Amino acid sequence: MLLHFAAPFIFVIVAAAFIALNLLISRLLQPRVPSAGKNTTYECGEIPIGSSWVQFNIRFYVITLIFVIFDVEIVFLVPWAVVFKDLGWFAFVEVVIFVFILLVGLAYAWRKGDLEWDKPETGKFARDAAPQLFEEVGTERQQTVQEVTL
Amino acid sequence: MTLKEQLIARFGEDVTPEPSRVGDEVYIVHRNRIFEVCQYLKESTNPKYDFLMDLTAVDYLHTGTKPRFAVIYQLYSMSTHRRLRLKAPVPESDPILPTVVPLWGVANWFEREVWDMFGIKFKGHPDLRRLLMYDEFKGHPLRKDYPFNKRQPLVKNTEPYEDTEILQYLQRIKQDEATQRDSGPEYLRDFLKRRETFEGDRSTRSFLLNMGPSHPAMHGVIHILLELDGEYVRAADLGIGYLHRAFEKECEVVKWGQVFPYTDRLNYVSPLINNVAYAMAVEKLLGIEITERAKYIRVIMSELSRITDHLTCIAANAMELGAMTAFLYFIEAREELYNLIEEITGARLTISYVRIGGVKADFTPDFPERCTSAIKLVREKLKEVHKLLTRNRIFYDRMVGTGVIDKDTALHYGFTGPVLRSTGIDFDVRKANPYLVYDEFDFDVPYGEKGDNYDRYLCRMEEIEQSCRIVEQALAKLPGGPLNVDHEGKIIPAHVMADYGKFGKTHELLQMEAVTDPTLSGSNAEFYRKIYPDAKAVVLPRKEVTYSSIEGMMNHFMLVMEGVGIAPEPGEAYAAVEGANGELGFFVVSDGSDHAYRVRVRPPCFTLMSGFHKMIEGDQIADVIATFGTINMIAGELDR
Amino acid sequence: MQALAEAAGKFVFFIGLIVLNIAAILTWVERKQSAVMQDRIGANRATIFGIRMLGMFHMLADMLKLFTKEFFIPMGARRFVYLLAPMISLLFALVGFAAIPFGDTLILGGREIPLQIANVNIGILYIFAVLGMAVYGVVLGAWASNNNYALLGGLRASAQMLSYEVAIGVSLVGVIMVYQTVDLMEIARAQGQLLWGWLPQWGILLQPLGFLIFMTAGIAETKRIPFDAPEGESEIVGYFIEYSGMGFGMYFLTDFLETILIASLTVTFFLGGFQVPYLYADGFHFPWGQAILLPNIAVAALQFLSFLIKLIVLLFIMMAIRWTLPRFRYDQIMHLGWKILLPASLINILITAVVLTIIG
Repeated sequence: MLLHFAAPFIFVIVAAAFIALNLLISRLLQPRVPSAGKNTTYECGEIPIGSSWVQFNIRFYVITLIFVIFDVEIVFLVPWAVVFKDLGWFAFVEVVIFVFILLVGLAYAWRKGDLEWDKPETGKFARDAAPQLFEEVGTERQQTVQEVTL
Repeated sequence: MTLKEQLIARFGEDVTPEPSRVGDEVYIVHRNRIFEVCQYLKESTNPKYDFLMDLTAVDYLHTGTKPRFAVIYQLYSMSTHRRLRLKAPVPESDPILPTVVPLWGVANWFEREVWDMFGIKFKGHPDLRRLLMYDEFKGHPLRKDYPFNKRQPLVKNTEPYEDTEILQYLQRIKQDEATQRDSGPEYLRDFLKRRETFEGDRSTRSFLLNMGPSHPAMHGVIHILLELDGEYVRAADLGIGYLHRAFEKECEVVKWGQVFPYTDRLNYVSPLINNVAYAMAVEKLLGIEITERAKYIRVIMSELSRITDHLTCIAANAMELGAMTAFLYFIEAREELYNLIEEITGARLTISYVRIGGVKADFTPDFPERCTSAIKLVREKLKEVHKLLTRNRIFYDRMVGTGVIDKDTALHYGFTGPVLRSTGIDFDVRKANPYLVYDEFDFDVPYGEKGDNYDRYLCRMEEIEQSCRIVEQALAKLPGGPLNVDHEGKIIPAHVMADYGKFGKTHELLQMEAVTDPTLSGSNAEFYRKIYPDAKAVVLPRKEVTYSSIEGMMNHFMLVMEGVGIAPEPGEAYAAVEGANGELGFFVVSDGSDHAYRVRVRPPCFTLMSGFHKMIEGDQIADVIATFGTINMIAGELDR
Repeated sequence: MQALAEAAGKFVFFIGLIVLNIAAILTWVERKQSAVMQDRIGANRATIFGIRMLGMFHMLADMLKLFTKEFFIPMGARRFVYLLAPMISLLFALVGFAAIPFGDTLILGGREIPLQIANVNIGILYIFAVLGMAVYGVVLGAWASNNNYALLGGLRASAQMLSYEVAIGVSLVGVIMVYQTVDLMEIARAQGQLLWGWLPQWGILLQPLGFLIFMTAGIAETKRIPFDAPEGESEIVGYFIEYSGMGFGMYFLTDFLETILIASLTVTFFLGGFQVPYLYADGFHFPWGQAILLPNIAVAALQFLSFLIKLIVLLFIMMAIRWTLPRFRYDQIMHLGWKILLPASLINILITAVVLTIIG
């Protein structure tokens, strides 16, 4: 049994060696001209504001949970699928029930909106010229009239 | 009650009409009451002037007009399609007047530009930052006393990343944030404060992302600062001016006729339309009526230009969504049109084809044939792209419901062109205020209903088809006759022609077209003689004439020498055409010399970009690209 | 020791000579095919002594360029992870090929050599594992770059690859049910049998729905258009935005290798693997009774050739898709994966089970 994996293991080593060789060749051939401008983080030519290691809502962690469930499901289904013909009707019904439960689970998650991507509320920059920001413009205008003299 | 009576009844002496010899409707408004006048015009007058087309300023330092500045408001009535110009004089000593931002969102950027260029402040403006110039710039470049060739260092001379160690790097970022929070621009302060309040609620923390200026999809150059919540855009702030080339300042130092090459570089995807718009403004100022043939040629070339513009826009949009094949299909069609344009104008992009009083060159004999085959190719490619994209499920999903803008917001932000039409308002200058010979053609103005990216895409696709129709009709109707007005700037009236005959000048008569204009011999004759000044030469003589006859040589010499040549009487004129992205207007001011005193462009992209954040807030990052693509921003005319 | 030599030999042959060459040619095909589709000429500038070879030398030029470009680490990046990530990516793309049966057994000098690098008897699970690991290279690289664009790309990639792994897994359950094995070599061999005496039992005929799902999810795994949201060159520029020189080269190579891997898997599972219809170990046996006997070496060569041709046709189709469709948006990708492909693949299992139970 273990021998089965000897070949892939050797393969991994050979592949790793291959990658290392590539890097080595590239290392020998490439120029090295470090400069501050080159080493900056790319953000379209602007200086990034804040670090990019921030936490924000990635909106799919529920999906990740569902993923785990279905991945485990595959693990259950594969052995059954291999010997499926030998087991006959009993196993068939059992798996139908199993898949059905999963389908119901998926439908539930779907219905509950866990597969949806709800939009967040949009904020506003202060500079935005929304009309309601200027309700007090009447008073402001009066002040202008007083302050500005021709 | 006429508008004049309404205004005078309401505001008394604060509003006075100014006579305009070119027929524009102009009022001079006391600056303190400009907001009230605008509000009144927007909401209560009959007709309502509810649309702010343009807002700019003029520095009258050299003309001797007092006070020194005037802020110009170009208003438009969406219901009656009439234009109105307000002038608010502003003295140099106290350059401030109330803002009109609460009435029109687009005034936000317009006023920022006026502040940037003229140093005129707006009381109550929410965010009076520089717009086109960078923050470190000193002075206000469009003031007449700012030398046009003055140089200033371009950027802050600080190396952004001197530290090499990561800890120092992170520390620097923290310090940056701290300084920004205390003394940075308002929007940044606001964001950073807001982010601090998010600290407790880790799941909804947002971050800032700079998109542009150096970004693959930000063609042209523009900077969008996005506040992101994961993939979603919470808020956006646009920075423009990266391609600012001082177009308006340049125009003031060259002669009237030499402005054309600069206009090529405004919307460089459809330069012919810019040429036409500028020529129309100057001709309005000069009082020239160009020949029928020139009008038709201008229409044909404008529409070909519009087709290339829309082809490029849709193609680039598709490419940014990943559908590169559609891109190249359209570029192939555009290539054919460029070849055609090259044949007539001698250049593919920087064509400088139109002249004051006509166009540079006539069509070549095989033009109609080649044009027809090019239009056929365009139609073929349209069909192919319709198949590739229009009903493509992925494309449809990407475009429908993204970048939505409603009618009111679009009007609030001064949108025109396909973007406004996609919201369901069928405003097209070609139909609303027909210029040249557009009223002689049968074409439709397509408009959408939802104002999303898909509607904009469909609008543009259909406009290509409509432009093809116009070109076909114009080719069929193309009249003969002289190409340009004669070198004295007019089409010769019949009685003058008879006089010429009496003096034996029959040779010249062969190249001229006679029109019988009753107004010239009636009571208005004196007035029109003033508008058509006999000594005003306008169109350069043909090359053959210039090189083979002394009269032609002298004529040419007189037109191109400094101090002589085309010199309109003092006055102001605004002329607008339907550019590929909306109303393209030129506001020209003459002080009677051979140089333009002021040339102001109303670039359609400018207003579109001033409301762009409204279209992307709430969408995802990927939609920013799709929306940006359908806007078809051309940095050349945005930044000028 | 012999095992090591054999594995190394097979690596050199299959990976060095076949797979990497296909990957290189693929870069050329991508350029030329797109050019043909788009009425262009395509790459043709690179020459060697004036010979253009239809622009074939561009792949050499590409390689040389990647080798000679500086691979630097940007400021603010996590050095170790930053360097490790592209290697992980490339390693697992390479390792996936270990289980692919390129042909049946070749008898050379009395020795039986299976034309498969490593005969893993649970090949499908091995493939799952390798595909599952692929996401690490992307996510780690994106995170280590300390770049907002890369971060977004990495998150998109992880969500997308996780989601489509489920669809791939469930769609393959149908294949397992039909062929009753998880050994890739066995699956390929089983597809040589005939249905009703004349129809080859290829997966695409027995599992048409499974084929579509696997193909779609497979393209999504390779992160190519229309599923290239993690790269989205016009949106977020890509998760590898901070990589230069060979670092980028490794991601670039990974991309093409993954495409080939997915195409190879599709061939193995659904297009009969290395099987040529009616070709058996000793030659052709047609259903109408005719037979052409061939030596083993010819059979092995034919099988290997058949695998390559199928692979190339499939790659060609994938390229055509890539140049035709626009890109999905991130949430649309998730939508497709979870709401369409996953239910469809579960239903596929049920249909397969019902049909198989009724038949036998």
